[in-house]
Amino acid sequence: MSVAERLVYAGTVDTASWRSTANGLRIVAHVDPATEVVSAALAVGVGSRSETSDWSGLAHLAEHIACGAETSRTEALAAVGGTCNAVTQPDLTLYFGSVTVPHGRTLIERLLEVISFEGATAARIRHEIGIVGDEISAAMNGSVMGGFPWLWLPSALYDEPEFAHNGYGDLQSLKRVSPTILAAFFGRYYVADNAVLAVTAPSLDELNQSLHKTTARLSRGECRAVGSAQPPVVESAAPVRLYAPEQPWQATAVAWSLPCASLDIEHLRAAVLADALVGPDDGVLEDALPDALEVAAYVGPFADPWDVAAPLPFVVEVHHESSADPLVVCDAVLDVLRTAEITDDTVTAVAGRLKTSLCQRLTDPIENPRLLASAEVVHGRIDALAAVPERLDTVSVTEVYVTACQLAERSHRILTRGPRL
Amino acid sequence: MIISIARPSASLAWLRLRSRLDAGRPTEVAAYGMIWAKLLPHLSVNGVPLHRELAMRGTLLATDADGHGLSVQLVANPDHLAKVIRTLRIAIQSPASNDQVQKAYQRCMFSWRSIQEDSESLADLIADIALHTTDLSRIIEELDKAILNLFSDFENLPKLAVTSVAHVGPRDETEELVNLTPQKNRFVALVNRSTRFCGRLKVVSDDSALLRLGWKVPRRGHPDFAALAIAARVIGGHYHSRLTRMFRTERGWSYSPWALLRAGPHHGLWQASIRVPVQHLPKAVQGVRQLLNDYVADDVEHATAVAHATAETYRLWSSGESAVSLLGYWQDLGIDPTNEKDRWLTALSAVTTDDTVNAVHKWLTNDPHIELILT
Repeated sequence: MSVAERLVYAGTVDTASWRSTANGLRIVAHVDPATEVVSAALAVGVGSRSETSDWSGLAHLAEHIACGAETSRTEALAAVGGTCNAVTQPDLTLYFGSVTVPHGRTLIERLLEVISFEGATAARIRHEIGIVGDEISAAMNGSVMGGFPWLWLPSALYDEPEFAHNGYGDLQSLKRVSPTILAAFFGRYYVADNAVLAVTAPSLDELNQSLHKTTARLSRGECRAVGSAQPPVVESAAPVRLYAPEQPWQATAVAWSLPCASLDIEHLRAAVLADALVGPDDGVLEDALPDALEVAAYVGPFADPWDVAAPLPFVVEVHHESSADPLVVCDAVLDVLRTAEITDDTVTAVAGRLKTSLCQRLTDPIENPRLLASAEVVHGRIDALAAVPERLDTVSVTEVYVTACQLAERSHRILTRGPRL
Repeated sequence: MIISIARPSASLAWLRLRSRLDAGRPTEVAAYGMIWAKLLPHLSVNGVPLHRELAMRGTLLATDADGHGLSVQLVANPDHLAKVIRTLRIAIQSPASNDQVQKAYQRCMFSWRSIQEDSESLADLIADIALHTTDLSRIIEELDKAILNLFSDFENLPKLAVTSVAHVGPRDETEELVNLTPQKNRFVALVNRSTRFCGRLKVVSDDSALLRLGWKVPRRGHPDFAALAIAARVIGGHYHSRLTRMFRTERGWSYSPWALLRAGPHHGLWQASIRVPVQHLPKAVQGVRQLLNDYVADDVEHATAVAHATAETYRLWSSGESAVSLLGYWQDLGIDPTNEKDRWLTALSAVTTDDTVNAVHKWLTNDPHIELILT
């Protein structure tokens, strides 16, 4: 089955086609008749895991500077109501936006400008570091990015700097970034053959108009391989604790490192297990922890990760009253993994939900380019994403049991936050 | 009210239900909505919890509550939609056991505690309830009391009654949707006392403060509403807006300042929000007020704002998930959604720079009705 056929199977688009330009930029283009905008995403194969400990946070700072650059194309896009935003992930940096159909080319030109970006002045770097500081404050106070335990999990789970990275890095380290360091970073990573552009438009004509002659000026540069990192060994089960006396309850996370990348079959089995532990049948975890305020289980630094190279964290998160001992909570979680009764029906239901969730993102004209560009730049195989629905159907209850038992016997770490130290 | 939009190329179907809860003040409506949001997925359908029954068909279920009532959103395989609707109707009509209620209350309490710990969520909830009441003085205290009283008063929990249904999918499913038996709007009139809410709350934080200012403005449909929407874009609607230029581009104080206009059943709420380092808070308050008091027209900014508002409408309409939310939002306001997208685009394009200036000075230069500082 071709990539296009698989995408159609997943309910994605009417047409999916690949182009690889002379300078190495990969382009995936889609037609979606339901959309009334042109949307696009440019994924660059560099993320927080690419950094050295000397320059922690450089990938995120570079994203801010490239995305916020005041250029004629930025202004041209804004003037026609186009949006452009960006996000830094462990293994990629994603620039994305949308615009009304007649201005598709303006959006594409703005995105491609990113991979010919060369640097910024010292004053611009200082200015952007202040904004990054405010973003971190907002994340620390928000429940999505800063919600327990995402910001703290990497450093609790991994010793190696590249895996222990929380995505934001170290502000003090960033203050030493010079224009030369930044220019070297852009020169090394922000090159055409380390990037993927995905575009969705209502018709083939509009796609071709948007893409017309937009890649001719891009230069070829050095490409760094992504997704080849080896998983570290987690040896200690010592709890890592965070003191938050003003929080009225305790939150405890038990975390494992899975030696697989997202889209691997091991990831899909673990994703099914995570959903089976907490839903849809009220979840076996909730039954085992009747006093818990809330329980969650997921794979990855973010829920629903399709764009992360190995290793992937597997996390069980329990919010409970501070009268309960975090170590006792952890033991209860391990008991559930050893003894949980998960049925065929539950696995079917969970796989169905995961398939619908992925299909919804693949069919969303705004989400679609982001998902495809990200998966391609990290994994190098867009067809692996398109094949997820079929592969989820192959996950059996026996495999889910085996995954659970393996986790129960493997080393893990405990992260707890709240008034109880 | 039922609206069904056919998109032949869609491979999924999106369904949104709204149940207005006849519970009195919007704080009580929100509290009851919260517990229903936690309870509904666990109600039994032939002995099986609703969310499991739906999941067996790969259907995603999400519930949410606000000062307007409960909203339920589903994403389903279009071929299973009729069965999903029947399942949902059975669940809505089935009684809840004591154990289910107790668990729902526990989940509800935890949500409320989590919201209180998260400044953005708390500010959003206050603003959301403010859309449904003219009395803003004691929202937090009332909500706290309403939630604490829920359990002892659970026998009086308002029953769910679907009041509006919106659908986007490959086929027009209006006939199936009628089976959900929408009922007439039973939303009650609210006490009308005009007071300001000035809150200063302590949340877990570092050295930054969240400032949220809100002005009550006319409801959607009023001649000034589209002009106020354009003003929100000019002031804080995109990366080149005045708030962003002042606080992010020029001073480097704030990651994402914004301004936004939302509509409620009785009035609109025009909001400006900015997170800044605590030491800059007084200047941030002064800066926002100054932006409004000194508001003057600029043709380029105006054209950009209209383009952004237009593009956002097209963007929301393009996604099945956001399109069904948009339809539901219009239903909540009592607007016929049939041609509302086109009507709104026409209204946006008709706004002049003078309209915007006049609307800002008419509605936004007095003291705000909400002045919330979370430090």
